[in-house]
Amino acid sequence: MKKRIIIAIVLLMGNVIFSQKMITRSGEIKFEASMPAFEEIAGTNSTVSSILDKTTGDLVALALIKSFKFKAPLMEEHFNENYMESSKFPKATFKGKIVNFDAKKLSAAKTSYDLEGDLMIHGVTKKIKSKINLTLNGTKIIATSSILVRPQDYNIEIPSLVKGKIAENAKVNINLVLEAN
Amino acid sequence: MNKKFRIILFSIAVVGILSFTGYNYIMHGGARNLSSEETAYTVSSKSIANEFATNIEMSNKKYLEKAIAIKGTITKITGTEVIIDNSIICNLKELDPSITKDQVITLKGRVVGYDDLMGELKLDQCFKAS
Repeated sequence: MKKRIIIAIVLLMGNVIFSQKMITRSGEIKFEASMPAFEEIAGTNSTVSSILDKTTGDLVALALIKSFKFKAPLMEEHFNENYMESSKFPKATFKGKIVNFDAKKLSAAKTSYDLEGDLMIHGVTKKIKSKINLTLNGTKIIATSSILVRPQDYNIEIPSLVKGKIAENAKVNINLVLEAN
Repeated sequence: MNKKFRIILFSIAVVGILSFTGYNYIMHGGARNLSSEETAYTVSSKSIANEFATNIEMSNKKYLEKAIAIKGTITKITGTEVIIDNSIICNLKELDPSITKDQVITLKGRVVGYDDLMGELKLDQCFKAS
């Protein structure tokens, strides 16, 4: 038994040392759901954490809902309490893969890859497909992506009273500067 | 005639004040000020990190949104991002040059949530409590 535990620990340590993980704690997610001629509805979260495995192209990201900052505190409150219910569902996560990722092919020129995986928002998980742009900047990898999120798909109810003021598809821009651990 | 004029002037003033306060409330109202708020819990970095690591849901219920004070040693600081004992990430409300690495400190802030990807607890609007 003891031996097994030691082997497990050694294997795990090897995993930590040899896997090429690129991480960030200060990734940025901007979301916008404004309608023309109405109040700007936009929030920014600049404390997104993300890990990219350079050997496999696996990408995971996590954003805490309460970290989204809005221009008006009242808008932030509504976002948290009425729409995202952030006390019940404190986080949004993405777990997926960059298709055909090859760390050796990264360059200073922007390259577009396919991104697929599971996006979890408001406790609801959906499979998504999108594009992700990767750029090598020194030792850092800059990853940017833009996805459209339909609140309805994630059981986020928007009262009919304000429906006209909130875009049906929220635009979510992601910007990650990944560094070697 | 004079009376009528006065009533009109008065009502314009009232409407003006109301719309101004209303606009102010919508644009700036409802913000929290942690420094005037009572500290809900005072904990050590190790005990709260343990609590979250063992049961996220229970700890979320207990701590989320609360103003708490955490004591520990600063292991890393980059700009407004302060890391206490490698497990708690505090985002300072404003830059504070008196906060330095390896310092033993008590920081007060709002619990934003637990990042189970990194195994770290996140706080924002932090400032030095003692």
